[in-house]
Amino acid sequence: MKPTSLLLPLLLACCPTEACEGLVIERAWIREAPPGARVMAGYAELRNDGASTLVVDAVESSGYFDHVMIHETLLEEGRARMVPRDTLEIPPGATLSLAPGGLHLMLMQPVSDLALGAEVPLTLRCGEAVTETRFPVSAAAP
Amino acid sequence: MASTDRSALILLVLVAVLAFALGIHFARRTAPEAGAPVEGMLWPDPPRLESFTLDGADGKPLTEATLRGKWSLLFFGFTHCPDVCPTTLATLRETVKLLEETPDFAQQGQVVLVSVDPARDTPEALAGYVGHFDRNFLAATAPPDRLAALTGQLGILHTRVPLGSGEEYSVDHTASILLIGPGLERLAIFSAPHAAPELAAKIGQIIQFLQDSP
Ligand SMILES: [Cu+2]
Repeated sequence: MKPTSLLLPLLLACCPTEACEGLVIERAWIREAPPGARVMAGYAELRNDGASTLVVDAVESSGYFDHVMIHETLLEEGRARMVPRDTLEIPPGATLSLAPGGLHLMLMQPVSDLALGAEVPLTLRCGEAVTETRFPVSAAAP
Repeated sequence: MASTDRSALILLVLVAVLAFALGIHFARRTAPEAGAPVEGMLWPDPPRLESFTLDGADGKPLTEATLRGKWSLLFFGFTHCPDVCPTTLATLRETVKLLEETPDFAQQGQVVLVSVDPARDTPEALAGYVGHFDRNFLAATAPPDRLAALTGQLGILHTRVPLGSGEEYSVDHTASILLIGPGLERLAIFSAPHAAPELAAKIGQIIQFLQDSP
């Protein structure tokens, strides 16, 4: 076996992955929650400056939450329900708003209480590519 | 022949005019605000709240007596609800602030969160939760049978829905805000989504209307 054949997978594993192409994340924030909260919500505006549709298929948090889900709150005949979504799709040139009462990142089981002003890194995954952004904990939208 | 045609036409026109007038009449009668001066208000003859007993976040029972003599804003939710519930509680906090100019509400107003998730929301957990939004907000819950005594009469629906594959669940629930009067009158139901300025204006108008009417 040539040494390079061993090296190639190592090289791929070691090096920073590509960023989600064209993804711009703005006005990111996590709603401050009472101490002991078992669930929190994250919001942001996701803009696609790229040439092709972006598909965010997972959101990850290392060390802050047990896991993150993509949710949408729907209001039907006065009833509110939260529906899990597999992906967030953003066409080229479009902005997708994650905002109270609609799409949100469902942040499950915070590892510890997050104080106002804390900055939480979250990773948005688009297939093999990832984009990481800091979400400040805030009482209201920035 | 010609004259029969003409009388038929006149009859047709008359019927059309009558139908139009009746249509307007019934449209007025069945409009949602029929008789009520404010949208969402149940008027005339608002139904009264019947007795119920919940476990208050302060460790004491929260019953219909807790609401007597007050203007109460009721909201149903649960603490594992990070989107709609905090948004609504923040809206209620802002609404109460805007109602500082309505003396009756400023002196006798209160906000009550009722948890529809008694399996996870203990009274202690609720105390910490509402206290975070406003120290004056009340909260309560109760086991399903006692909870149903309140939700049933108010038409509040709530259903447990699993989230993903694990133990986690969410609770689909009616997100309306209810206004209960000092005599336990069910004065109004405001449907979600809520905006504080609108909500405060309607509540102010309802209180004004009740003071003006004998
Ligand atoms: Cu959610």
